[in-house]
Amino acid sequence: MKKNNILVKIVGMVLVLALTLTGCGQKTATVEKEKYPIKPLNMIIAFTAGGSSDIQARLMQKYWNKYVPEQPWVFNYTTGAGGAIGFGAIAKAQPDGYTLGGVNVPHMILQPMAQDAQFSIDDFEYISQVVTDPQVLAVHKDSKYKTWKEAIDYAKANPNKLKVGIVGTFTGHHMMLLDLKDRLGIEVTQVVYKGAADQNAALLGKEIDLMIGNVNDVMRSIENMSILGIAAEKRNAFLPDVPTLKESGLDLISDIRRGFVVPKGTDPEKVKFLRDSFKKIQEDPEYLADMKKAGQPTDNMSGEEFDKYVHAQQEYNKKLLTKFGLIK
Amino acid sequence: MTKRKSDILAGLVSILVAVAFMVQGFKLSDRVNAMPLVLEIFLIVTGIYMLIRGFISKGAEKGEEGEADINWVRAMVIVLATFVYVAGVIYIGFYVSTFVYLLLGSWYLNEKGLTLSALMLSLIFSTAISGVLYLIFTVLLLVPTPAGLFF
Amino acid sequence: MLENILTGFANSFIPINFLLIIAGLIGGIIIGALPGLTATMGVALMVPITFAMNPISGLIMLGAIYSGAIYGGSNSAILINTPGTPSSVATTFDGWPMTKQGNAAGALNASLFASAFGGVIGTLFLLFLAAPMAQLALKFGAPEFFWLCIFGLSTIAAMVPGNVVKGLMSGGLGMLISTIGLDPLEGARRFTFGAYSLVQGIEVIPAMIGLFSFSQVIVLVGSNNKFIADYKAKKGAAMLVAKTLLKSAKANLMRSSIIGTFVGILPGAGGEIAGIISYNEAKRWDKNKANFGKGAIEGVVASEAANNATIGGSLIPMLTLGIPGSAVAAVIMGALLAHGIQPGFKIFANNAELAYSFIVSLIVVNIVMVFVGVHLIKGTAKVLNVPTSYIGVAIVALSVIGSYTIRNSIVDVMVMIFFGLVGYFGGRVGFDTGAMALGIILGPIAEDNLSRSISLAGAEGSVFKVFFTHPISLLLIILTLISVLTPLLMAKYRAKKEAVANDKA
Repeated sequence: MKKNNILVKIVGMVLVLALTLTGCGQKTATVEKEKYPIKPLNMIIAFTAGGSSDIQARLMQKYWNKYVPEQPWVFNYTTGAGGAIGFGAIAKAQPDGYTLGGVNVPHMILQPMAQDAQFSIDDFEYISQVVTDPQVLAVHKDSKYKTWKEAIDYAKANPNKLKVGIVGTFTGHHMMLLDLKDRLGIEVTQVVYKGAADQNAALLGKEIDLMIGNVNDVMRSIENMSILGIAAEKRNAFLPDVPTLKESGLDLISDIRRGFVVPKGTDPEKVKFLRDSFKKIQEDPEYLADMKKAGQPTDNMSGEEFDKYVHAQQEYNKKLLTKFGLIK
Repeated sequence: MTKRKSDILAGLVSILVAVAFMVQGFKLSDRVNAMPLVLEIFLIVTGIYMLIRGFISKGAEKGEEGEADINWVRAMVIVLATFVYVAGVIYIGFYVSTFVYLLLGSWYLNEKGLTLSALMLSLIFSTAISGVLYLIFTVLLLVPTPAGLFF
Repeated sequence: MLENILTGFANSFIPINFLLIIAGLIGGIIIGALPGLTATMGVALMVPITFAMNPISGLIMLGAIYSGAIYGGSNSAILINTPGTPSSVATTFDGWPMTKQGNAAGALNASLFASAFGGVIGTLFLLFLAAPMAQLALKFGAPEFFWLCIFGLSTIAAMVPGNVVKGLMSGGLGMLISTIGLDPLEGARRFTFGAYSLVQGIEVIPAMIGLFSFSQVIVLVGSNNKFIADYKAKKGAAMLVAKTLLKSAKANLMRSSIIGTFVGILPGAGGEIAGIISYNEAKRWDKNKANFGKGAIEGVVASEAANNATIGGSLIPMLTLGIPGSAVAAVIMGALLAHGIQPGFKIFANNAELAYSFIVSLIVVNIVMVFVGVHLIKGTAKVLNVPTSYIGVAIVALSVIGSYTIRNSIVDVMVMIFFGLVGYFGGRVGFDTGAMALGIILGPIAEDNLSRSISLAGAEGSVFKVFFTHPISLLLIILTLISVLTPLLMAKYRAKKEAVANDKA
């Protein structure tokens, strides 16, 4: 009996202790908000160091340090498979608010759709869109084509004779080419390059007749190219003399967008903090000036809108790929 | 290893690899599978040539270099230790695993035998190397290292 | 222009810039010597720091890191048979045998002088012949690249005399393994054997660290030798090497530097290909071909002069056309752009001081490198005085972290270990690690350009026209044939001569 009493007492004490402890824990959690950030943030970049995505993030980091001086970013280059490896790494990371990363649209939409990438666009909380880099149609400056229509007319008259360069498959360039083929009913020879540098070299060396490029990339070799049209709603500040495709009668919008995300399930408070910080950075005139200098077309969009945009784009891309039999 | 044995082994390996890739490539489109297929056929043909050369040769010829006295136990212990080390890097973290691997590895390999003084030397060595790696990668270059449970 | 060049020299000797040159060189050499830390990574990591600097100082520092890292790669290639950067693959072919023979100091100094020489020649081309060289780079299309790769692969035949079939098999295995991942044409998943993580493909650097370095550790540990090799510091080793090179390697140095510069201007072909081609050419033109692969100083000289010459070469299309000739040049271009400077021929007019200061500083960098390097060599060579029991495990630790940091992938670490075993056991059945590495490096470039050429042939309507009518392609085809046929003909010729001699006797 005596033994039992002691046991009961002990169990009782443990219970009381446990209850108070958990109670206390809950109380502190509700009353005192978790401080954030208290350690450096891991920034996953899915492309090589020194590339456009990296330069953009590095410029942004400068202003992150201005607005959130407590904790820096630690860059983590997780590259491969056109970004799919890095995007997957963000999706799989701990949703503790200490891992964020850069994503590219439409790559992040196309890779799960067509290449079995190990993530989906629903695996993220969207922080902010930072860049919209529209696609352009470019030719060599000595090219016989003075407008994009001339090139298209040639392609119509000579199926598969026009050599069009794009970077990668299941990329923004690839989608634009498919869209062009779909709307204009042309057959062209698709020549795939590894990166913008190879593609620019091929156009300058006249290996291809026409290329689909981005503003940021063509600006580097602009002396030797002429840009025939830009697939955007409005003319671009970097290329004010280039007409939009829309102006010349083709309602085609195509671009590559960059933004930042965290893994799904990150604390909403932290997501809000990040969204607010990114907003502040992008409203800083010095940041905008730096981005302009680096040739990066800024386009701030809030996390919520970016989320919606990505999901809306999924439908468009799915239709296009299905039409060309590239997915089932 | 005799030349004959090494020819046969090389032939077998090359054929096996080529067949494995060939099976994997069945579902690919022709253009995607073009260069791999050429390579697979090349490897199978040369592999068969190696097998034939191996079987008809006398077999007495001495083969590749480095035959002398290989200490297989030491070599294989380090290979196995490295497997454990990599697992440690994944689950425990780079620096802790590296420290332990360097400590035990160099102690096991040193020629004075597993003495206490050798262990002390290994301790100094592994602390120094781990420290230098930490300094270069984490402090100076800010390059992320694999972190498991610890760092 | 002369005025600009003089300003450039003056800028290089401003104390802060000169200090940055020395610091950049030392940092670069260390980064280059550590397997896995590449020149690209070294330069990329420093770019954000240049944001806060005056652009001229920033560029001077990046140039110093680039040069230091490409040279630094040879140190580990020579001392532990591990190319610190892929550019030094060909340096291992003779540098490592030299070390084993106790002549590490000779190899290290030769690589230093050759690197500096190549670096200066490459820069001179950049300074005086940028415009025509850039036009030449543009003439290099997909079919030319394809033939260049075939030419590179043809060196296998010369690399492993007496074992040509197994050499070719090793190259074939390397190429086949390199097709794992996403294919370059349709972006389809290939050969992942059910493991999604293989979709990122076999990265060249971890594979090479495994083939060369981890397999070497297994050999070392199993060898019962107390040290990697005999090494005693000798006074005047540097002078002795300098004299030898001046006397007998002038042609080799010049040829290799020019090859390096030309390969450097091509985007997509870098130091590793330049080194391999120069190595093979040095061997072809040398009287004592048989020495190559067994510790010929000429082999080290060829590889190292060529890979440092690619630096100047790779900057030519970057500065003039905005097309970087190498990954590092791309990073430097990123730094330029972040400072708001647009590349292009106009850069020499609009930003003359910056452009010329940067170019001229590279000459200064290469000269300073000799003085910095001579001192560092004395320290690095001491690695050989550390017993293998310590060196072995330290190399493994470095290999693990080096493979990981390339792209933060643990899969790459496993790839490294796998290739270590392939290198070790493959070596025992007569496979050649050098040939396999060559296959892994050249395989993807060859396939990429082959499939592009086929696309182009579709538009042209003629395969023959695309592959066999361009003048550069024809030149490369002829070179390839020569390279494949000479060893065969030489063997026949020698056999005949011997037969004649035997008849007389």
